[in-house]
Amino acid sequence: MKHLDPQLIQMLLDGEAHDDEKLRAEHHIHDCAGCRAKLERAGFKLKAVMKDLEGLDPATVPSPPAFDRPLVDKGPKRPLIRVLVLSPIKVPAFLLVLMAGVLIILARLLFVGNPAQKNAAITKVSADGPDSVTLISSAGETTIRLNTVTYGFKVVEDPSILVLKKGDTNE
Amino acid sequence: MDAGRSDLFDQFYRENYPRIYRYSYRLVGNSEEAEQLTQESFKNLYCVFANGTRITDIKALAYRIAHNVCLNFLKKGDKFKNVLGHNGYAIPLSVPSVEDEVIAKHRLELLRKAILSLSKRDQRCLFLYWEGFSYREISTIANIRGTSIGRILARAINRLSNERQRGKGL
Repeated sequence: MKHLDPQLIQMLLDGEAHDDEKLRAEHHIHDCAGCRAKLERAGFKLKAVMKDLEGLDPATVPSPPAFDRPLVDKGPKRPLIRVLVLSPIKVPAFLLVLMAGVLIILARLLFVGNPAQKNAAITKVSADGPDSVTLISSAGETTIRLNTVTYGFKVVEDPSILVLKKGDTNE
Repeated sequence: MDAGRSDLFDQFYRENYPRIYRYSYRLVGNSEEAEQLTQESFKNLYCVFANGTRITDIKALAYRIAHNVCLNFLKKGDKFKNVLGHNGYAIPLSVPSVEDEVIAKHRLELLRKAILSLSKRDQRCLFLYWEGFSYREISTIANIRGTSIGRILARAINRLSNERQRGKGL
């Protein structure tokens, strides 16, 4: 068996070593004076430290005062508003979701344009050449090249309906 | 809460108040704060009791709650710096002379510093060991792997012992 490590020595002193570990350790210290001395020293150290720690205990321990029983608040009966207001995790999460929602709405208004124009229905499509087509919708007239159609419009739900995206159609 | 359960709680409170107080005191180092925190810990425990939650080991649960209550308190006020550093710590009454008292105080100060130099996990482990808990109980209360406890304690005690030797040499 290899020499006793500090962890096993501590476990032996505390009576926390498994029976087989204890047995092997006993056999080992019988033959190994070094480990025997280590175990002895560790025992002295432990006693001395625990005695010192007693110096940090309170001088007196008060007797238990009358216990003031709190009102027990059962979780499922808590009103929703209280859950939202008082929960330290839910409040920031709620604010985060709210801010994200506001940002998305602002971004759509600023960068995509008026939703009414964005989803303007196409009333007329006419081919101007081999690589361009003119689309006329309630949002106005625009011309796009066929090989970049993905920039000009996208197909939504019904593949026969083209939806214009304002701002990136006239490239 | 039914009467039987309520009586059980009252009995537990009476029997374990001093232990939880001492434990809190060791963590916060102040008798007034320790009393308040002990009350808070028992209130939290009472809520668990009253909710009808099945409790397998009430003692372990009480220490776990007390530990968390004290740590939250220390975190809030950034009082970790003051752990064990309060003047309220008792100096043994047997100290006869002023010189001996100074030495004893200095040794306690070294011990305090040595405890503070341990990681929070090691401090937790040491405090529970000091309280007389088994490795299994320490593992449950402090949420530390059972196989690590021997190693943590050996390291902590070795460090405290070295500081003790330094204190002796003064």
